[in-house]
Amino acid sequence: MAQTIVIVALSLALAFAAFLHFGVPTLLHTHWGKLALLVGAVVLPVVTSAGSMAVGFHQSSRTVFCLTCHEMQNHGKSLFADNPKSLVAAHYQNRLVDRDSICYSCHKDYAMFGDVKAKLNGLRHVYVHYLGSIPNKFALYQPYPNSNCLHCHADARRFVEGQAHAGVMTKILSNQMSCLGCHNVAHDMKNVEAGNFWQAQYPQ
Amino acid sequence: MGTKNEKQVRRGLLLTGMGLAIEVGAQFYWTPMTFVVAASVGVPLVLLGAWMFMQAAWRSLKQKGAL
Repeated sequence: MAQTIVIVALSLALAFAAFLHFGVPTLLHTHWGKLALLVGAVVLPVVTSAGSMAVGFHQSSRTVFCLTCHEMQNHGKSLFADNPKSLVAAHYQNRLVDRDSICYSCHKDYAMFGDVKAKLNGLRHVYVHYLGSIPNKFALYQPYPNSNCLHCHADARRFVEGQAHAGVMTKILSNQMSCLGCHNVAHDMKNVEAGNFWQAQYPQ
Repeated sequence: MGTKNEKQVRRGLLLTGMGLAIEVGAQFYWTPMTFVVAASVGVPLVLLGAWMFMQAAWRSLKQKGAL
């Protein structure tokens, strides 16, 4: 809906700017003409551009956006890997996070500038995609921080009361021990390569 | 505004229009590339066009002694 509104607003702003472009000599000699120029050349374009970027920011956080690059397509397939222990598969298949933004939910930091950092990392991806060389094996830019998991799990009952967490809770909370140390299958690429996928099937 | 200002306003509107056209195009097909182009080309063009208009208006006001 927001995207449709922005498309309409941008198109109107564009049409208005084109109209004004041809009427500049006349418009500059009247009070209302100058006001129309101010609106058409500054106010409307700036406001609609802000709306456009807000929509773009939202769109760039969607799963389908990340998967437009072919390099990421196997990672996309890992959402369907038939392995309940795989973090990505478990979160996606059990709807623990919004399916429409699963990459972003786990790969952005939840600190103050987490969104900005995620977008800058995305820019690096774009650079490598078009101008760099794509590595055979993907790696994170930095070790995966527990804070990303704890953003959702910190006060979750299953996590707090989980027996395996009891002895190491302090270490987990202080990031001295990585969640991925035990939950060590993030994207199950073996099952992806083997073509083992899970799909919801209802008993007959 | 004189002829110089007139030209500048028209150029500003042209740049703004180009920027808006790029942004409209990106709205129909969001990919990493279109997002980067919209953010790094479309938006700066719009801002540059707006700035050119404001500069022409400022100059016109100064010429008239309104500032």
